[in-house]
Amino acid sequence: MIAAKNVSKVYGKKQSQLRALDDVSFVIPTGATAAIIGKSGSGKSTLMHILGGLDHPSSGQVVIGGKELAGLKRRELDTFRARELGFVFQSFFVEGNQTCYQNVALPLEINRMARGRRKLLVQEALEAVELGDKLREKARNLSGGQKQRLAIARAIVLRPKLIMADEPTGNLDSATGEKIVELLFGLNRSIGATLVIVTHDRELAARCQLQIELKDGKVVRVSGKSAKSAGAEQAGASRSNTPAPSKSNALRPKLPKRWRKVQ
Amino acid sequence: MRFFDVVRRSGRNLRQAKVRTLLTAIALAVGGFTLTLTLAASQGARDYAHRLVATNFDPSSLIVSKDKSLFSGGAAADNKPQPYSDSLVSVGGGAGGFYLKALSDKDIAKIKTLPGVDSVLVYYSGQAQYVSGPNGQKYTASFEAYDPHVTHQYEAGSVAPGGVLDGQVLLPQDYVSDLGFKSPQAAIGQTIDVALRQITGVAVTRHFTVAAVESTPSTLADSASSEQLLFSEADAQSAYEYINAGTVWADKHLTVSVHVHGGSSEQQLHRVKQEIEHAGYAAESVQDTEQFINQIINVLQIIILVFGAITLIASFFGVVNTQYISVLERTREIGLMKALGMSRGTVSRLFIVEATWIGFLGAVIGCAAAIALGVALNPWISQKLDFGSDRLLVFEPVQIAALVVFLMLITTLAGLLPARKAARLDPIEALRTE
Repeated sequence: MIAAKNVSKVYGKKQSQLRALDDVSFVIPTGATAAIIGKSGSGKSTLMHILGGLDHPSSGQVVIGGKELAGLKRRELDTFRARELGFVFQSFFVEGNQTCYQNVALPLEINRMARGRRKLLVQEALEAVELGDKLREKARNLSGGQKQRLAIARAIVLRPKLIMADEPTGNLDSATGEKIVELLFGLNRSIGATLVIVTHDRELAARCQLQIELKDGKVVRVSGKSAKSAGAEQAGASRSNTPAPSKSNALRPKLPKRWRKVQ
Repeated sequence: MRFFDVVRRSGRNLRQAKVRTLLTAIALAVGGFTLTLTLAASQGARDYAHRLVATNFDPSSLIVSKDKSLFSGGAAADNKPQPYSDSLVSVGGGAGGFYLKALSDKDIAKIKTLPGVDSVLVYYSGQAQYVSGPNGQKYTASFEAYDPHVTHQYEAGSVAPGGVLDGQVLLPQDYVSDLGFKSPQAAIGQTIDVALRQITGVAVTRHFTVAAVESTPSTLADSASSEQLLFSEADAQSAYEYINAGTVWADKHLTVSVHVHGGSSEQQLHRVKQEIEHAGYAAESVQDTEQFINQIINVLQIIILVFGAITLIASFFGVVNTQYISVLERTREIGLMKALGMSRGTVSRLFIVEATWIGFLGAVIGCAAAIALGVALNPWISQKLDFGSDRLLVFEPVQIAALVVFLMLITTLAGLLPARKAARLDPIEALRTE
């Protein structure tokens, strides 16, 4: 469960103060899909950075999986990000000079995983995003969609409890973007990770179970499953609220067997 | 992140900036090259000094004198009047001359009685007026007593185990043709005339039978004692006493060589040395002489090393600069790594190890170039310097390994500041950089 309680973020000093986030509160149940929507400058990136432990709120609390982020030391925050969080960015942030394998192995190396296990996990993650044959390919030789899939493979290689995607389709054409979205929703179901998508695309947001709309740093609307009922209805959520289940199912057989068991 | 992964990733990062890495490493390699050659030359000089001493001196001997200043190198430092004693002799003569205490026959007899002393060898050496052979041509020559503890190589003939017999001479090869012998073999058993002249002008000619011909030394190291006619000790003493009759040197010697009882071990030499010093004389072992030479070599070495070290300071800043650029170039990557949960320590280590890699690379390039040059030039240098089979440049694996480690240490230090900058980058700012 992700809970934000009265989160505010203020930049600058008194006169030229900028309230990026103003008293933001919401709850995202474990395993749910949520969209944070808003126009640029609405504070959604700031919110994502705070949720991901990259930034600290000026006031308020963020609780993820029972842990209050503000109470964690820097090292514990690093560990939290390394173990429980997967980031996907708008501009991919894959290392072009490195091979797909090296890109995806980075989180595993950060987690001090033995080499033997790494190979297996990287292979599985790349297969999950249909890049299983690009293991030795340099990332710079990939197309935009492939790069984003590579970034997703890197985000999910450790099977995080939470995947945060910042405008994951922003740099992609609509057809490729659609594939990425399907992939993200498919992973949400297959590995049971909570998915938080930051986007300005209302169509994409509508496909999530929960929409948190920001305007000028304030939450103007929370729609979809309400914060209170979402947890209770979690079991039925994936059936009733998941958009285009048939399309997502198309990806399912391609997932490694071990992952399917997780569902 | 495991250290091995850090080393691998940082190495890979370097490969992505090949030219920059190589240039920085080459700057460092210049220093490494200089230092390697300096170390090699000094090692070569030390080895050479060791050989020089070992082939010319009996290792189980001590040089003994009455005047301690003879070994400390400050003989004439003080021009104040000294109280006269019978043991003082003037050396050099004229205005630049000075007095030294010399050993008399009485002193030598006293040294002989010391328990650690096996035998005393007095250096009966001097200049003959001339030497001549079958063709009657006269040549200059000096003579000294044959020292059985020093190794000799013979071109022809041989010397009895106890040394040259009375009336015999060991002839240097250079004299063979000058004196009119057809070959070294032809000279064996033939007679040569040695003229000796006293200070008063009175001269005498003595006849010696050639027992053996000593080979011309192949290297400088062997040459010190092999251009002299070598007589038996009794003959050398008699010749010495004849030409020095009537002078202070007739019964006085600046130094004698003492053969130590019980071998050439350092402890034994030290024990006997103390014994002699206790008796009121100064003593110096072959090792002391070698140490003295090595001291000079080491001072020279340090001077050159300092120059090499100065080039290292320049490359130190080169590495700092390179690493700063590397951090700036990879701001986005650093942001990503931090977003993925990489700790500050690991980010910092990635960049420090990268700098260490540059050090390793530079050191290997520099050392390899120096060794290649050394191997290529050694024969030529040896020939030019008349070193024979000796090598001027001696590469010691331990020294080179230490140098490589040292250079890696320097670049590691150079990497610290840029690495700190990388570790402290704000991941959000870093990710914003496009």
